[in-house]
Amino acid sequence: MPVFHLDPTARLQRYLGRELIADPNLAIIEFVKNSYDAGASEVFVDFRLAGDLDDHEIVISDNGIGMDVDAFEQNWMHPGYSYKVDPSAVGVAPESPAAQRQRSRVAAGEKGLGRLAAGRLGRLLDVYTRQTPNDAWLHVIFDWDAFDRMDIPMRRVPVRYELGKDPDDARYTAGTVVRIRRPYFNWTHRVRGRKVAGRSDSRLGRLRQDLALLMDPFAHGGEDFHIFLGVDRPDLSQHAGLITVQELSVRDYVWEFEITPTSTGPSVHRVVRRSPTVVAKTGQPAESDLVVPSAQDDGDEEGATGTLLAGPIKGALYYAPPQVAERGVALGRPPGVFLYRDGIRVEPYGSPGDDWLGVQARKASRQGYAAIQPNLLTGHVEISRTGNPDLVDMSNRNGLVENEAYDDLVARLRAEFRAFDALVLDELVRPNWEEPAARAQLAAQRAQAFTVALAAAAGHSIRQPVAALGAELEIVETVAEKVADEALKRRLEGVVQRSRLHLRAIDASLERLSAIESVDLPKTFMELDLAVVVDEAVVRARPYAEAAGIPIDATVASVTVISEPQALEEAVFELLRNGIRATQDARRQEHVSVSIDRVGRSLEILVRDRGTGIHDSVRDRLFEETVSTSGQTGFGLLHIRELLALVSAQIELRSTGSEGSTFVIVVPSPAAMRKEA
Amino acid sequence: MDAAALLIDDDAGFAESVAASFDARDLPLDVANSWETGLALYRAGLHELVVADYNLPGSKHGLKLLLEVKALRPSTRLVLISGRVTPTAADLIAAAGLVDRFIPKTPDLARELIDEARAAESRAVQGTDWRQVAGAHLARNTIDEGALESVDAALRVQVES
Repeated sequence: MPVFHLDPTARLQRYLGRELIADPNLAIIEFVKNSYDAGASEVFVDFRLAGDLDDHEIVISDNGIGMDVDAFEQNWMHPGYSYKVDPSAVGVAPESPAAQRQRSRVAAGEKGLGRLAAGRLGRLLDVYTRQTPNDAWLHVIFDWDAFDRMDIPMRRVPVRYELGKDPDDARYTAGTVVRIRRPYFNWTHRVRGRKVAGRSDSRLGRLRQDLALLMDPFAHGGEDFHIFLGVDRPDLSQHAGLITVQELSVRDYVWEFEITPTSTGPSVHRVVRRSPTVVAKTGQPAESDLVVPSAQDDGDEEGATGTLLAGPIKGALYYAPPQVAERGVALGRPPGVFLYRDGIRVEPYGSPGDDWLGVQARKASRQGYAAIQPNLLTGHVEISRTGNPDLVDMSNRNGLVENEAYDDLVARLRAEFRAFDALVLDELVRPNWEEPAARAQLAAQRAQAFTVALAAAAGHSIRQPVAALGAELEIVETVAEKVADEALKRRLEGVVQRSRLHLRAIDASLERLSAIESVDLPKTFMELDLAVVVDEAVVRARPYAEAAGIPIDATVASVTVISEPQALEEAVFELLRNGIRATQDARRQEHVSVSIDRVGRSLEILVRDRGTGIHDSVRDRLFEETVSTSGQTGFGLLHIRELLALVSAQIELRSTGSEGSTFVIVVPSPAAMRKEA
Repeated sequence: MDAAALLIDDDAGFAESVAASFDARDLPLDVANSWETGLALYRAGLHELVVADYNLPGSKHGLKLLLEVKALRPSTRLVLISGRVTPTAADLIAAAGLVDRFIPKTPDLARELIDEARAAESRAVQGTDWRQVAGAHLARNTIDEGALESVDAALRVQVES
């Protein structure tokens, strides 16, 4: 049977190199990883940025094992080949410290494509390499423009090399120097587009951050590898120097986990460590240790434990106090939980904008209120090539191939995050909710005491003249009895009768005022579901609605607030009853509706009716004493307003007209309550 | 004719209106604007009916003195009036058992007081029950402080700052 052979054109380099890798930082990181794999203890990334852009250079030098001509040809000239995974690789390096280190490390790269990433950075690439100071330098020159042809196969593009030419200003006596010339863009510039929280906005600043995150700060084995950034421009010197692995030492919580397969299914061993501050605040032990079955979080719910398709996973999540997290950003350690394979970071997991653990989503699902704020969470997850063979890198260095193992990894990590989040919520955050709740309750009690005293004093002072007027009427009545003129007598008796009615109306109002003392005003502030409060009010109002033949339409989603349930329920109930009455008065059969909206830092309970609206004459005085929605004397809305004021809520008439009225109860969100406290 | 009733109230306007309504019914009424004046008038006149507004300065002390004096003449009917009206106040005062009646300051107060004054006048013409006086004399130092406290709590009006 005849056969074909794939024979890629020269242009394939363009796709594999220049266009495959989106982020130029990743292209540089590929070379740094190559240095690590070559057993280097140091790698210098030098930016020579003086003069015009065409004169700029990026030089990456290491003291790794280097290559001779044969090794170079086998490794570099066969894209897709990696000596790192080829046991029969030629060119065994002479014994050296670099060779020892190389043997002790798990290779960071394995695809044999990293070198092509140079095409992402500049038009020309010079490679200088040698294994020992006694060898001649091998100098190879790649002109990537020469590959931009479809008419010849890749193998036909000549790549020139020479022996014996030294690299300028070589930093090491042996190893490899990669010089990228005629770069495609200017590294002195800032990154275009919007600023990203926790990320430098300069190209070099971001590269420095990415390099700092490259090595797992917790994995053993990275101590003997140092990255330096060199910059020849004084105005950019702040980016230069040793890249230190930044990890914050001050944390409120450390959540370590190790997920392993067992005979009864995957299990997770968790160790929770708490800072002395947290221990003092929560009364919890400094360290807790437990083993539980490992769950998967596939969205809203945690699922069955299943099979550990991802392979063993371990890592740690850190919850830092806010001020420490800010310092972390300043140090170049942005928030995020990063993934490391054999100690080398797998991009982009945990980078700003990559919500692989659903941390942002969790916050959004809680209406902006999260136990663990995304900017306070850092951490790392460790996998390995040997332990997690089904977790495979994408060729574009942009994450892992999405397969069942990857899904399993993410689902299990999300379950870990969710469990951690629940712990922080219970131990640290919920008591903080209780603190503002207690303050609100105290304020409410004070306000209540003041209101009661004020009502008593007002009632007392009004009663004096009312009783006195009653006495005066006694006089008129007595006089009337003695008047002989019958017409005058009747007029006087009429005056007495009507005056007594007026006085009794005032007295009845005073009685309502004094009843404030006996109202069971708000007692308990708590974390509560506003939807439940509204539902309770609807249940109470439904008999009135049914009697009036007017349905209640309640559309409420669950939302958490810190408030006092009785006051809110009472207010919603009163508004529903008002709405039912108004709709009934308008002789309409349309429904009264109640809904909950989020507006900024507040939540709004809207009660709409299809009544006749509120008359202009009373609209402005609606929440004053003795005025009701119908214009009659009453204390309903005044009572509601006072009641809501005691729980830091407000009532307003949003709209009214011939098509009905909308009243709104504005309740502060938990975040607003926390800010107030 | 000596007044059978004494009104102790520091609100001069209110006292004047009540006195005028009594006068219209030809009922004499002594009026005092303080506990001191009221007690002095009572010691002099030994009224059958004493009506006292509780919210006078030093009411607790004044009421205590009045109760002690009243104990010497048990037939005196003591009525407390107050503009402070809560559903529980009347119950608390009744339970304390120190005074004979509590009447809130309502538009009908004057009428209620006139009825009380008429009853007092009819009692005034009856002879003294000396046995009752003797018993009261023995008990005069045993005013229940707790009961006084509860009356004070029920009727005191003040705005807390």
